[in-house]
Order: sequence, then structure tokens, then C-alpha cells
Amino acid sequence: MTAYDSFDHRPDPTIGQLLRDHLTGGDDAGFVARVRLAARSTEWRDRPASGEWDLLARWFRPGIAAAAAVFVGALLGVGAGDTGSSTLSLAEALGPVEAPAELLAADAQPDPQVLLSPLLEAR
Amino acid sequence: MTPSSSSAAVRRAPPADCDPQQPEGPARIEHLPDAELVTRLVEGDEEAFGRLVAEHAPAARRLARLVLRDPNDADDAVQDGLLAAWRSIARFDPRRSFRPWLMRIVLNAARDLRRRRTVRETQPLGGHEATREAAPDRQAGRALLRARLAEALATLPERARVAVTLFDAEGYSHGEIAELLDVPEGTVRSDVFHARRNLRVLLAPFLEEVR
Repeated sequence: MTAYDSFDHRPDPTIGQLLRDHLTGGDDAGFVARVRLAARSTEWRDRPASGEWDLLARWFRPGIAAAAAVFVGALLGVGAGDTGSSTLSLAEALGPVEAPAELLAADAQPDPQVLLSPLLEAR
Repeated sequence: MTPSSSSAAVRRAPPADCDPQQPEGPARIEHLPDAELVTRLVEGDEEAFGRLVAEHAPAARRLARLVLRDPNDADDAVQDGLLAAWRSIARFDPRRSFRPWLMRIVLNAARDLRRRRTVRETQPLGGHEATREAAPDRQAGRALLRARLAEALATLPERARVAVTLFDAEGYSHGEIAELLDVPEGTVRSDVFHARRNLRVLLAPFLEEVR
């Protein structure tokens, strides 16, 4: 038929042109405008962006949630502290106690067990 | 558009006294390759999206028409596909070619729409021209040719239709088509070969006049 046969590895310009003419719908510019409008009106606002403010916005909610969790945790901790009857008050803990004499006489660093024993005994 | 995307566009806008040789700003975006446009799109540049759509929409519409045949359905599918590609652009591997990736999404959108659509009779593309009288002039001959082409395409399996169109009409390589259709390259060569042979047989009386 022509120089182009079915085994040819090159595109057939005649068949190609026929197919293009047959399948081309026209008004590509209008279609592009339609797609861009669809993206702008329904999609673009939902798409994650990478601006600095968007980055901060993404951090904002988790930050608020974390702060709220810490605050609630602190409240629970204080509440639990108030209900405990076996704990020492600050004044009791810092009150005058008798330091073991060996602490004052010793040259070496005091043993923490010995140092804290009055506090533990007071409980 | 969100303030963020707007601000991103503003950041990229060149100052009034910028060097005209610098490939920046909306006026230069038409000359950017797909890879650069994709990078800008990932960063939220709406102009880059518009440019990619303008570049690939014509071929995407032709591809969708091969699958759906109804022009309106085809345009709906292409729009779905383009928006889907835009939403998932962050997952695109920039080391690969953008065109087959995009067309694959469009092809899947067209197939998906075809599944969702209720079965209805659609006039094949160009079919209305088959009812015209075959006038002796060249224009009428071409109209008849197009009608015959629609019939010939309808005889081909979808994959062969897509393969021969992408190869002969869109200039895709066998490898790109294989990637798009997710089949071996040899299968694409075979599809193109058989589709061409069938088209040439069915269109033989007309092709001699066209060439």
C-alpha cells in the first residue's frame, strides 16, 4: 500500500492523522478552563500546601492538644496529691531534724541513705 | 484558592525589574518542562497545574474517547483523571516520565466511568457522518472515511485501540505505552501490529485517496 507496513517501528503519519482528526473534540481551551475552575472551586482549598503559615497551622492543633493533655495531667496530679494522707507537707519535710553526729564528723562524702534516713523515719 | 497557594504564587512572581532572561514567573511557565512544572505543582503552584492541563488535555481527551466514545463522558473522565493526578502528585516519582503516569490515571478514570455509567446507547464518534450521502467531493469522502474509521476502531479490542492511537497519533514509544497499559513491550508491539493491519484492511478503499 505505502512505505509504511504493519511491522514498521515508526508511527504511521496517515493513520495517526486520521485518528487525531477523528478523536479530537475541539475547544481544548474551554476544557482547560473548565478543569482549572473545578480545581480552584472544589479541590484547591482542600489540598495541603507547603507555605510557612500552613506549616504553623498544621502544628497548631496538635500543639493545643498537647498543651491540654499536659494541663489535665497536671490537674490530676495535684488532685491526687491532695487526697493522699500519708504524704508529708512541705513544712514537715523541711522541719528541724536531728542530723546524725557521724555526718558532721566524717571526712568522706556522706552516704545518701544516712542523709535521708530522718525524712524516711518521720513518715 | 487558599491564601497559602496564593502567597506561594506571589513568592514566585518576578519583581518588575527582574532579568527577562530568568525563567521565572507566569510569563515563563509555558517554556518549563514537565518535571519543573510538577515540582512547582507539588509546592502548590496553581499556574503549574494549569500549564500541565493545557499541555496534556488534548491527548488525554483523545485517549478517553477511545474508551468511552461519548464525548461528554470522555471529558468528564478526563477531568476526573486530571484532578486525581493533581491530588496524588506528591506520590509521583520525578525520576519517571510524567506523561505515561498522567495518561494511565486518565485511562483508569475513563474505565472507571464506563463501569459506573448505566448501559446506554451512544452514537459512535463520527457516526452521524455515516448517514450523509457520499458526495463526490473530497470533503464528503473524508467524512465517510471518518465514519468508517469509527466502525473500524469499534472492531478492535480496547487495548489495541489505545496502543495504536498512542503510537501513531500521539507519538508515544512502545515502552511508554507498555508502562501506561502495564503490559510487556512485546505485547504493545503486537497490539500495534494487529490494530494497524485491521485498520488498513477496513480502510483500504479510503487510504489510497488520503495518502
